[in-house]
Amino acid sequence: MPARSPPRGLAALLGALATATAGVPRGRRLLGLVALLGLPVLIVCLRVLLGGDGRGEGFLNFARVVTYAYAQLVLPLALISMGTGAFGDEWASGTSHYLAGLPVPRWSLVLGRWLAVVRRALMFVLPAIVLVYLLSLASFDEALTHYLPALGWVLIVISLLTAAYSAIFIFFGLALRRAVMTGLVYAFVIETATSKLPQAFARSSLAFHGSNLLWQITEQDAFKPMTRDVFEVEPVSVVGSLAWMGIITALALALATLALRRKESGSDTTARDAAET
Amino acid sequence: MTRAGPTPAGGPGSDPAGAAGSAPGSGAARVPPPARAPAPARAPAALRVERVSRWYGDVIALNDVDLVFGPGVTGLLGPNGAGKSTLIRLLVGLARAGTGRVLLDGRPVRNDLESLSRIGYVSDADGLYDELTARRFLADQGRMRGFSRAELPRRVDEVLELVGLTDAADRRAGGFSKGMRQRLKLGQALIHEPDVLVLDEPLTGLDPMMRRDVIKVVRDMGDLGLTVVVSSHVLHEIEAMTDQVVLLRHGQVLAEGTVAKIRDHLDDQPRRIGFGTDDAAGLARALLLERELVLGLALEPERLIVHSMHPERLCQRVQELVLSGEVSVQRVDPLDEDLAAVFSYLVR
Repeated sequence: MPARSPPRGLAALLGALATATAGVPRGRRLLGLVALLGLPVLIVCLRVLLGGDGRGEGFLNFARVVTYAYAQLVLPLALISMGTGAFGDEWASGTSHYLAGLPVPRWSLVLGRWLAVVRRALMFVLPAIVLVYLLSLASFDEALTHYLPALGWVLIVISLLTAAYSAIFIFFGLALRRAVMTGLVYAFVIETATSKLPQAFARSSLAFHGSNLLWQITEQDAFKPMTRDVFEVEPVSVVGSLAWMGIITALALALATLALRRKESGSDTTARDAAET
Repeated sequence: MTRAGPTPAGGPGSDPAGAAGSAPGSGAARVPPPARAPAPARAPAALRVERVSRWYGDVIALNDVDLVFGPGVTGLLGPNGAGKSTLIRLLVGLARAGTGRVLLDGRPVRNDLESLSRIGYVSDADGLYDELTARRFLADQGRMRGFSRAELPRRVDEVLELVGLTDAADRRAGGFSKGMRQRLKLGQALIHEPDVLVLDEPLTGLDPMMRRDVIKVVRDMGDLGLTVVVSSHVLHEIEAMTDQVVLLRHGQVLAEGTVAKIRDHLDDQPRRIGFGTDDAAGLARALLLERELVLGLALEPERLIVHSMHPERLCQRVQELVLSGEVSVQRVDPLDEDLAAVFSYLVR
């Protein structure tokens, strides 16, 4: 019998969350992340300094920055780095045996790391979006309070999108050898392409549901995807998009758990050593 | 191919850690188990490797290995590429067996939470969470292994003291020397008071004082009744920890048991015996007449080294020569009883 009962269930999950240190942006990775998140803020600053927009234009600018800069570019890029690193860094830095040897359920390790990535990403992304909102609308009377509910919804949708992308990139980091490259192809080729396809295909795209939710849930035309009019695509309901995002997230986390169960620690080194022998 | 005996779930004196000695050759002979450590203070654990093979592509790393590790310290030896690291990773559940299985008291090790909770492992890799302090690292490991918040500080302090890192407890591991890192790795393996301790090259990078301390810790753990498996390619390090060894080569078990017993079974290999004498040439002349007993001679200053298939009869003959006054011998040294000699016989 074991000398001590290791944590199970929620205790294991909270333990995994509290002890998740891999994938934390540090050094150059942190600088890159700040630069990435700060670039849209800088662009908005310049636009404000140049001035000239009306109140509605200010919100439109905010919506465009959120949709095209954060949701479709910055967020996936940041999460490719943080998500694939959540487990991948352990294998890269030779600490994977500490993780793999832990006597806790693999699902709790995956969920713990996932929550840690989401929490860290939101700590960077949400303040950046709020800053863009403030800069875009601060110069217009009552605009800040008028669009406040929309801002709240935007923050919620971005949080959901963060959770979904994180799950996918965590799975990539566990299951694939070239996880970052695959993540880039997924986010900027596959996602972009499928989100523009007819609706049946588009439903498998997080980018599609992200932009759909921003539009449907905020009820602001500023978030209406430009391609909607071109392709006359019927919007999916809020519940439908939420359900699809939930399914994709859950599937990615389940696959990540399976990948973690199957993954060997130090196998690359062993294989190389054996081959040399 | 060697085969281990029945699973020894029993206490000391049973045949746990591959106590049955065997040597290469058709016989794969068995020898009785050696005397074991004093009565264990905890439930003994038997780590059994059952007909395990493992390939990496076309390369076979382990070939149909059968072993049982029980209470006490067992040294795992072999040249580079022998399969030691692969076997170690299988023992602690970090790798999958291609065929066969690894069991801890009848339960599979890999992905079994109860088995994993009983194992402590020191990897040969240098990886540590460099951004964490030694105290935080041990606390994280302890927390994930079932220590409550109330118990953790005391246990972490105990382990820090055990591995000699109390003064560096609040420094980040990234700034640690190689020896300190090695001690911290040992600490994390001990934090949860495991029943099984698997150490892959645990003395690498340690200074002589710390090396001595770690060897003592390992021996103490074995004496306490833990199942300890230590891998090393430095023979005298293993000798300092245990005389119970498993020798691996080309992914196969070459021999297992105590060094002396393994040597006893190398019947087809001549023994080397050194006779300390002032008249080595005279002794050589006398022994050259004994063709049955002497296969070869090597003259050294004040010593004659004799190669013989019958060392006991040879010693008897030399004794007769001494008693008859023909030669004088001050010292007799069996030169093949140490691990290095046995090892070199087996792997050449």
